[in-house]
Amino acid sequence: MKNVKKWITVVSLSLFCLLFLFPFYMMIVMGTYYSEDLFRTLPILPSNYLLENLKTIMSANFLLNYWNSFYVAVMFTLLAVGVAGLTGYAFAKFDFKGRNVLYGFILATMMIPGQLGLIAYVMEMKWFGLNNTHAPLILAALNNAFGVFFMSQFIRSSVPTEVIESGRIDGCSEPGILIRIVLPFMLPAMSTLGLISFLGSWNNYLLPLVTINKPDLYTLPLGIANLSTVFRTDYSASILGLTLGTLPLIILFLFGSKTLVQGLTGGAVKG
Amino acid sequence: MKASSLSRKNKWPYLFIAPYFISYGVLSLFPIIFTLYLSLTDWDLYGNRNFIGLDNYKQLFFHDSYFWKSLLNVFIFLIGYLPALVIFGMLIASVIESKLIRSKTFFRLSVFSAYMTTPVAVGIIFALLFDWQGGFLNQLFVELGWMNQKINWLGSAESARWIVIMMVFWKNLGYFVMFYTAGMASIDRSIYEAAVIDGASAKDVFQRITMPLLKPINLFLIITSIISGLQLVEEPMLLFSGWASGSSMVGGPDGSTFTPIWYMFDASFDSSAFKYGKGASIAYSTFLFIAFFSIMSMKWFNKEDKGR
Repeated sequence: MKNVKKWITVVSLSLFCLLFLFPFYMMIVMGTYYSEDLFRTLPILPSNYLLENLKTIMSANFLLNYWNSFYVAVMFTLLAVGVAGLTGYAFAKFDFKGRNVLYGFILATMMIPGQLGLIAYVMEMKWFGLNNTHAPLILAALNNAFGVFFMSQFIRSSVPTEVIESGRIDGCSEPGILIRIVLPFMLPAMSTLGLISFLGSWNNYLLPLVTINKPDLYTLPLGIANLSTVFRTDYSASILGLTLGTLPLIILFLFGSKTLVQGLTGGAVKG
Repeated sequence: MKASSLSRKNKWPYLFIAPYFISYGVLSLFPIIFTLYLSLTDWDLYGNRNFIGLDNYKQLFFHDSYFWKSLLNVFIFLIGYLPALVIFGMLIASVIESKLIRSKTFFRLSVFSAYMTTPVAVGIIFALLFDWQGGFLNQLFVELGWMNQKINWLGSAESARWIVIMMVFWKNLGYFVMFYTAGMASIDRSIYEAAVIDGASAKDVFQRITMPLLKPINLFLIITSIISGLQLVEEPMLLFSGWASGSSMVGGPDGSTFTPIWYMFDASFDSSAFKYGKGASIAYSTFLFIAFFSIMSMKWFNKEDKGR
């Protein structure tokens, strides 16, 4: 009886997961077909046109989209983590005038959705002459109240005040204390925040859509959205492009998923 | 606890927080306030800069059926996927966490993978599945003989809404499962053991122990879902971007998958209008609704708490 129940559970969960992964499977398989065949037969099993489609994709500047996304996401992550770490440290380990008011301000701004100021942000970037550069995408990292909150909570609970004090007694300067003594303690939280920031930047579509209109500067989501215009006639090549744009990062992130999950769930589960 | 023995007048904390607050002022606070001002003007790309008071809002609330339709749509979607996400999320999380399943990581990751996918790709993948002529499902169903004619799923208002609901469900289930598994893992095992010794059935344990202990997580998930659900935009936008069929359609058939933020984009950047003032008023109106409904749901949760 127990065995039957176990089997039913395992089989139904497996079926559910297969159904769940099916859209990905369909996407991968459709990318291996010759475009014309796609409509003639039912694309259930992989076909043999993968390499040809790959050649077509590589002839466009799809790799450039990859590089742009990567470069923007790295800069975004460094900026987001760096500023959040610095600010979070000050709030967690210093007692200064106005601290509570300013921290309250940060908590309050956490509730404001990012899209609210978007129209004026885009206009502002135009005034600064920064449209059609990657700067608006990277500078968006500075709107990061959550990061400050996250780092500050972590530093408060995980960085012992004693080591900071002993650094001061030894005559170390404040920036020196931060870099040499506190930073190693902060690394786990920084890597979690880094992963979240990277993912956020990588998946961003709306901001590049309205600030960038040069194909050379497109990030991956823009590149994917435009594949169908680039390969108007080659349906399966653009599907392969979609696969190449989607899967590698999913796989990469699944390896880091433990850190990511901890970061995403940390605050809520304890609360 | 005293945070440090330094004097309160030390300059270093101010130097450490300065980059954040300066950049926040320039890159976030200013745009937010300026958007509020924009919403009171007829500002557009062609040189109009007139202050018109609340006219944009009056137009939106009293004469604009598109705005109300877009709001109605996101609520229909929410009602469609949120209960399903809560129920299936808990169910799947509890099955994965139970002793019956050995390869937990595999199952966790397979539901989580959709959440990692770029929203743009999610919209396109569903367009490929449900496309009229070249769509995978139509081909499959015709081949299997379940249908004798291809159905234009994305062409009718009702089925288009269902597809958006399925799409958001597919994307977010992993997120819900992840939170529930984290929550279930943090519940003390000994509570369960005590309940089992007292003769509680699995159903009792789930209803009386797991559910109440997951309440803070439910609160968090439901409120964040309302906030992000009202801002839904990329997935339906790409579903109807014409990636599959070749012709794009703003708002889907009959505006059935139009969303407020999509409207904001369409009004300010996408159509030939470039009406920044109108777009700004859509942004602020939408956030009024977001604030209202997230406060309401928080209140509702708290009231239920006291009722116990």
